[in-house]
Amino acid sequence: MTHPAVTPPRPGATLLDVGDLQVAVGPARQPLPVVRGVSLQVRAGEIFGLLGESGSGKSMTVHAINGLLPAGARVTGGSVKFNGEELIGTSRRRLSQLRGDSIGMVFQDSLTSLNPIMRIGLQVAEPLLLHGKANARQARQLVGERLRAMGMPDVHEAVRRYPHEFSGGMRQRATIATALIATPQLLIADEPTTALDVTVQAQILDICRRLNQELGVAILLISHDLGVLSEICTTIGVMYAGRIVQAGPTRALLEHPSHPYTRALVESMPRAVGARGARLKAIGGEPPSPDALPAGCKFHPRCAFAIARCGAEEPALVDVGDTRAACWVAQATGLPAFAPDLITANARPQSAAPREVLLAATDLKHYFAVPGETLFARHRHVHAVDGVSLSIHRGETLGIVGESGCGKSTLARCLLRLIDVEAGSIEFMGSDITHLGGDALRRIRQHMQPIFQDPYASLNPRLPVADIVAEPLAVNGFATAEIAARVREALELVGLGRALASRFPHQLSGGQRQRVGIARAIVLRPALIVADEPISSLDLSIQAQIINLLHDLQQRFDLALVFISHDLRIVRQLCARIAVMFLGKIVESGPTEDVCARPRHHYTQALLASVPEPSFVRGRRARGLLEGDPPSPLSPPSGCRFRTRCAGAQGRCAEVEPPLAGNGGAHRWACHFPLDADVSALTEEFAQ
Amino acid sequence: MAAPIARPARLLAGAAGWLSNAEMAVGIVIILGWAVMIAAAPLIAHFDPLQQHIALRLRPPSAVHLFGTDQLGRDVFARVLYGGRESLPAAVAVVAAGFLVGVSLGAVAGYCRGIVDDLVMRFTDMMLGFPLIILAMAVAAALGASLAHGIIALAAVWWPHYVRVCRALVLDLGSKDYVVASRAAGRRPAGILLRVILPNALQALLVMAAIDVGRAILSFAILGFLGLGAQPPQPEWGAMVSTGATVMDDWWVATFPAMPVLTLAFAFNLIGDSIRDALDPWVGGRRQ
Repeated sequence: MTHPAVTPPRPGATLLDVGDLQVAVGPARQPLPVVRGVSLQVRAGEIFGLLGESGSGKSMTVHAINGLLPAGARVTGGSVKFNGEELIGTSRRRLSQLRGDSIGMVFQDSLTSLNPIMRIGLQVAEPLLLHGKANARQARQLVGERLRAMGMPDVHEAVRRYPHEFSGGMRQRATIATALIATPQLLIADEPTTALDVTVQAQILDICRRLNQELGVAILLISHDLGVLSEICTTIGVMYAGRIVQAGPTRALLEHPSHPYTRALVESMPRAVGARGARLKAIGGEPPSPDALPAGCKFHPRCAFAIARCGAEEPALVDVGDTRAACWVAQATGLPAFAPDLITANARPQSAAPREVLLAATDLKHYFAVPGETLFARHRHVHAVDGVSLSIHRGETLGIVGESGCGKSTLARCLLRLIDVEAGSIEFMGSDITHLGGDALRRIRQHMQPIFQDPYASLNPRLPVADIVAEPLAVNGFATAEIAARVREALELVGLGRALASRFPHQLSGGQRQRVGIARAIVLRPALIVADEPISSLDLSIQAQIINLLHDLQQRFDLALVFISHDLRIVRQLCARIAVMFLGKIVESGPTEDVCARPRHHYTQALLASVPEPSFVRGRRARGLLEGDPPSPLSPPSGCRFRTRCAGAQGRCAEVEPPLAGNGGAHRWACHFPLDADVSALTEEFAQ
Repeated sequence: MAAPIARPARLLAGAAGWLSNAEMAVGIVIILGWAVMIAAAPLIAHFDPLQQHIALRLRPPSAVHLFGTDQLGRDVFARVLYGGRESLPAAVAVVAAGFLVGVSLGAVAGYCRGIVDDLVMRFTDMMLGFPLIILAMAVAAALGASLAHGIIALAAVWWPHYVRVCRALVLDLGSKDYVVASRAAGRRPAGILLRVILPNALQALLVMAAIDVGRAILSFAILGFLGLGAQPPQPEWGAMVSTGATVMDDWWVATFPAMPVLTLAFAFNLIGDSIRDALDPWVGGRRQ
């Protein structure tokens, strides 16, 4: 190998220096600028977080840095210096050499970034072998070392496996190991945890932090989640419409968000601890698209503090306090004082007396048949929902929390009778609907409506918005005049103007589509709405808007709302009661305050600990992260299903399945050895 | 990267792009060219396609007889154009019949699943197990050779692959959230299939049908070549190639009737490919 001697990075020296980087897409005649002058420095040994919503240009910035811009995008100006060496315009060969040994890359989707027909061990070793930096034996040893450092169990076995035999978390470990095998100075990670469950995300973030400390590798971490970045980054840069609008040390940035956009993001971030209000502070409007950028500061149309100058001139990134911000208001007078309590304090009214039960499910079971492992083997069953009992009162909000595969979406469809239940019963509005069919079931459906996760898949692409919202009315035989009036009203309620009524779904943004989905759900005035991860595919600044919308509608129409999410922070924000699901069963349920502040089940505790938050907020609180992945629902562990991941598991847990019980109150848990007062109190202390 | 606000309707956005797409443009020009010539046959061709002039037999192409004359002294140019009046509508009829039968069966199989699905699909598999053109030959031979019987024979074997594709589309669309939403809104099963699922599946199926016309022309020519399609003296491309092949030295007799078959099959394939590219988000140039 002949490559320039790599100087060992001095801590604090600038490793990556991006200056006024500009990227454009589209035809040369009318280029669309997507990165409009980004400057950032990553110093050796630091973790730099780049925050932005989709379309903010964060991924394009990263791709320009490592020379992997997609076809049609090109660098139109600026420089990228790595260890003082200019990367823009350098040869492909040199770039690929650098990517092999000085810059490691990790992408969001570990399934597509791993070669499916290559064993993990060889795959991890590939950069070493390609660049001739090690012989087979050295490589094997280093691969083992790296995978062990990644927390990969049973490394000897793992290196012989193929990517599809691993879970998402394990695959992401392997890709990070691949990126780090040549001990690069810089690791670029583009949304590395976005596709993972919260407990696995916490593990991966922990690994990133450890690698940073032990190997001294600098990390450029790209994410749309402020929580993730604030957890491990030393410095954060916030991108909006192709530029960095604020950058600085994490703590200074979070405590003094001098740019209104940063401030709004910090304010709209739901927390796992601390005060719980009914509404989040949300930013109005939507991020501009690159072909319709406003004049002046690109954020000013959505900014509450905008002054005349903001609409005329684009501010430069200059020192404001401890961070750098691009904001005229911050430079001139500064923003008004930042409320330390991040969430508006109008506490949720507690419903005094429990009202009539709207829906009661008893011992629900739903199995999926999957083909046996061999040709003639019997079908096996996935116990997606395995004996769930719950009840929802009129006007109540119930949050169902769990990781992917825990059966929460299946449960939602069972409750709505969209799939049949194998066992158990569902009582809705006083009548048993478990085995209802035909017209009787169709009549009942008017009173229970779903809201879906994916705003792209949930709207019929061939119908205009007005027809989509009108469908439930039309199929239930409403008169034409009433349909028109109700559709108009529903669209107004969800904040969609009349102009949008004739648009088709593909002409709408993700947030607008989700509003259409909500309008369709409320247009029949149902008593119950089941929302399955309704915000998880939306952008940061849109999420808070939709949560607030759901909250307002729930209050206004006295809806019973079942809100399903993997994100405990959001459920906690919106719901009065929480049920935590693990592998088809409810393991803990009760009033939100009790469950979040005094969790008794070890899994709930782990979920709470996995919520990413700034290290200076977390302080010395023990994290209690979970080891490994959730067990397969095909062959759940005997006894308590959580025992294989549980720190407090004992012999009895393997033999007897704990029932969901408590001390006679509303707070119930399914654990033989529930967390005692001490452990819970620790959480509680920080909850104050 | 760009916010999805401006994500265009695939089909509509395609339409503008298609004409600038060279493959598409070539395909359309070829098909339109033949269609216009065939439609205007009485105006363009100066000879009766059936009129025999034994004295003028096997004349090479000239200013009078553009494509020359055949063994019976008939004008090949006129016969090619008039032959299209049999072949093209026949091909469209075959595809239309196959489409109707296949899509109906596929939709029912995909939506009902269970025993209906099993029955329909195993029968379809059985049909697909035969080499289709041989099956069509058997049917045509059994019915007796004629143009109408050729159409029936091809239509009888044309539907199975529509069943497969339609069933797959219906299965896929059936699990889409917007279909579930329709069910949750209280739409009846028949309404969901006919009003929600099929309109969304139709686009892909129509594309498939458009491509298929080329294949049908080809298959029809094969039947004709084997003497199982239109009967003499009716002009038909396949039959004309067949009789022309007996006088290979007089190359124009077989070559010119083969031209429309070749170019039309080619053109329909070109169009099919470009439509598929335009509709496929992974091949088509959807900017990320």
